[in-house]
Amino acid sequence: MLTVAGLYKDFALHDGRAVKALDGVGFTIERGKFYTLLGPSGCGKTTTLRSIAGLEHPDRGLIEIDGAPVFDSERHILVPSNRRRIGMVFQSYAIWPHMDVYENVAFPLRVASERRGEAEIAKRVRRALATVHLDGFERRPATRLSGGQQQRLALARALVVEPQLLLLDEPLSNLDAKLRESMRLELRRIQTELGITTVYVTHDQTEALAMSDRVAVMQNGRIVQQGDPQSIYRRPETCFVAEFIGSTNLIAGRVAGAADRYGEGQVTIPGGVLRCAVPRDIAPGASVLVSIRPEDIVLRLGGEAGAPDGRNRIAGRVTECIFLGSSVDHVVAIPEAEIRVWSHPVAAIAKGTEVVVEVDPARCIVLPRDDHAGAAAPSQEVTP
Amino acid sequence: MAGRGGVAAMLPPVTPRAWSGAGRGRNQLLPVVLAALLFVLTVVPVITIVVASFRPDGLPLSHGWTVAHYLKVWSAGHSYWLLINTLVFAAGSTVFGIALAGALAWLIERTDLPGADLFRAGILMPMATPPLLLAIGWVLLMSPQIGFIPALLKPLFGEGIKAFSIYNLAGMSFVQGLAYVPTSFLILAPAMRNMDPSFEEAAQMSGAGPGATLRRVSLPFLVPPLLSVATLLMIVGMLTFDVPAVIGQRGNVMVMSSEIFNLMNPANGLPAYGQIAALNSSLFVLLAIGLFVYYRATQESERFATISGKGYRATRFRLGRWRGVAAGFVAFYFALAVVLPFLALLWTACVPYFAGFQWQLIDKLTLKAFGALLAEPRILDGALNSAAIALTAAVLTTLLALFVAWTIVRSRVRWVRLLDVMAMIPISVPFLMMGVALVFIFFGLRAIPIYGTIWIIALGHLIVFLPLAARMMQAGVLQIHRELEEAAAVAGASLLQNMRRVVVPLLKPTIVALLIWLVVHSLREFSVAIMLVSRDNEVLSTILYSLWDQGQAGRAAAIAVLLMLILGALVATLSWLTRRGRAG
Repeated sequence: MLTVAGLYKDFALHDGRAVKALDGVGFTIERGKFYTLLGPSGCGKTTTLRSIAGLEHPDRGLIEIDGAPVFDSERHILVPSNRRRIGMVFQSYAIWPHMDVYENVAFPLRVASERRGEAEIAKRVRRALATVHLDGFERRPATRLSGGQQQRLALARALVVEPQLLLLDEPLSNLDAKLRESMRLELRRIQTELGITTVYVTHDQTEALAMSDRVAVMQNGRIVQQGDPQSIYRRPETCFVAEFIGSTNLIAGRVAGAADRYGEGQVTIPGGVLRCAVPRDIAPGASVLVSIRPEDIVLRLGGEAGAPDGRNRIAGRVTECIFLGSSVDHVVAIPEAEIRVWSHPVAAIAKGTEVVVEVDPARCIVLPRDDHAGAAAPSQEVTP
Repeated sequence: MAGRGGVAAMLPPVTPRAWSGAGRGRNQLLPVVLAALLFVLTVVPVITIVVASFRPDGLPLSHGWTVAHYLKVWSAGHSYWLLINTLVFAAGSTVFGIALAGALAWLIERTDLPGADLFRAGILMPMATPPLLLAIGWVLLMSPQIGFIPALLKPLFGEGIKAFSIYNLAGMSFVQGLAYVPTSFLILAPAMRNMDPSFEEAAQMSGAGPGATLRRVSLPFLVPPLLSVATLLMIVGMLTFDVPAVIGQRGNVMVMSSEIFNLMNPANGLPAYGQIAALNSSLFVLLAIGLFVYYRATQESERFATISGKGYRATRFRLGRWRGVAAGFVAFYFALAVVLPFLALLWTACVPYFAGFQWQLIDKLTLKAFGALLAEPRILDGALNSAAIALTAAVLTTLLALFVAWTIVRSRVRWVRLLDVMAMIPISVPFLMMGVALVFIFFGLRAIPIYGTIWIIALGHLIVFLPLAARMMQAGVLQIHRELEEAAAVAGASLLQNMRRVVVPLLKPTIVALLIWLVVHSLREFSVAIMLVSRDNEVLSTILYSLWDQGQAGRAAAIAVLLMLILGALVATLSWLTRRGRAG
């Protein structure tokens, strides 16, 4: 349905240097899927979306909607925004303040090249407003809508021409937390009902995981990993992805030997040896980071002996125990590191207690070490 | 890992330069057309004058080169006297105008002045008394023979009052300075209003008294806007002709503008075009220096603006027992700038014969003069010409400013700043000089036969008012969130549909205010028109001046009163719209 390939774009800075806003972005979306571009600000996700909309012009690359190129630097094709037949919801909603609700939604029909009668326009506007539950608000001035209503109006306006592609640019970022949660479900419901191919841009990993069929994580103008929400969360391929999606503990270590035929190998860390999932392209002896999610760890009191079931066990001591209501956040000191552990409140362990940290080898993800600097502080790549 | 796989790998690299050249032609069309138009409107006139000054016969399209005109102009001691007079007049009126406007702005914006809201609402009203009418009004008020004020004060001071004359540089600076107050106020008042009070509070917490706070913290913030107003007014003052025509000519105080006017209208023979061009070009060098200072000053003020921001509720200085005096001072300004000149003109229009102010004439006042005006074809034609010019200039200037401003703000083309620079050029060209330039261009250029018609005056007004119109429009476009236009584009609107259905409706308040402002300023404009009028394209302001010059004070005053009433109504509308817009 949508193909984006090899998009490059440099932005010139005031001092003449160039920033790579897009550095070879490419992906394909199947019809009817909900695809999310996720990343911190400045990672190129909005530039990618605006390039699909035709609001930015990449330096080179290819964008095809439904098999037809709308941008192709090689063949010098550049279809202007108004002829791409796309629906888009902007971060600011971009509701026109000089029109009422009805006229805002009718606008795309009125400026369309094919002429429609007033009755046809009214029918379609009513249908679009009903889809977003704004029926009855037709003659309300657009300026007298709440944030959530403006959001629905922007969506109705994007859907009224029944576009083949819907682009959403951080549409929930201006809503308060409660409303954001309900609009998340609402958006996903409408998308599934209409079966419309959707590209969604956000910096909120919860939104991305909750709504998407596929998630692409972006960093410094590149897509660093894409997949379904589960695999992105469970099997991050870089430290940046592991840290950006959810919380994680990163423990420095060294690969002790080659992985066995199940992909399991050993990593030496200051507190002992961890059995981990080791990717094939990481050689024995390599300096690595082991990512372990705080919710994947079980704490046992120091005296309890675990069964010899192949699980990793490291001795440590609880240095903080913070009650958060639905969970308890422990900080545990292990040799040369501190790790965070989330437990159910009934399993809270007091500060100062000697414990054993227990974790399934399949939950210990070995990551290459080299890009860790970029993960801590996502920064723009700068070329002279 | 996604990235360089698939189709991307098959694409050969394309150099960005080759790409940006092709396929984007449509995006460049509007900027290129506008650049060409602005070049013709603002750069060509300046070039024309400079070229003409080096031509032996002083006409730009003739042949040969010479510096004889410069030698002739600057070998005469007379020219240096003119220059000194001009500088004294420009500097004097600027200093007086800014001091007065600064005091008013401070009292209205930063003190607990009684009636501040009323005064602020009325501050635009003096726009209805253009310098020409103000000058005539003040001659009627102050003339030693016929003046109202000498007549009223004679019983108190005796004949000695006649020694107090306005036919000198001080009198001219006083009247011109009064005319500068509205413009200066409009620039200084926001600067005072938007000053972040925390800077002043911090100074007070550090132990500075009110005086030290004003001197060391508040005034430094006002330096950039003060400098930019001063430069703007100096440029206007160098070649304004209204006050020098009415007060200077009669008092035999000559400045550059009156010299150029006299050279353009010799008693016999052809005007000395070469000398006129040489004088103008020489002045332009001075102005270029002034403009450089102006740009530096406005850049500074932008830097300060980013620090101060807006929306602060500035602390107000308590006037205490001086409140009454301060209110009296502000009211006195309105009397000097509007009420007294208007009353003098009204009186002169209504007395049956012109004899200055005498109590015994009160019974004989009549409105007959106004009726007589309507019966005169010359005046009716003049009024129609003025209206046609004002409407044409206002509509075309607004349209041009809209496209220029929108392109400057929205276009991705790199050289778009050039449009801004070209649109600002007329700021550095005094009105009179622009009039002269158009004479030079269209006197010879018979292919475009607008010389001697009202259209050349409309064109002149379009050029001289373009800088301000473009700036106002840019401020308006900047307030439109870019996504409002992008949403229209994605929704399927073409550029023109976007303009018509989104940009223009959202800019409506700016457009209406700008249209009224332009109509007001075109109706009252004198310095451009006086250079371009001939028999068939007289406008109200030039007819008024020629009647006045011929000693027909009563008829001139009647026109002046009508003009003031029309301008007053327009300014009141403008003022009401601006305040309603700010409230809403």
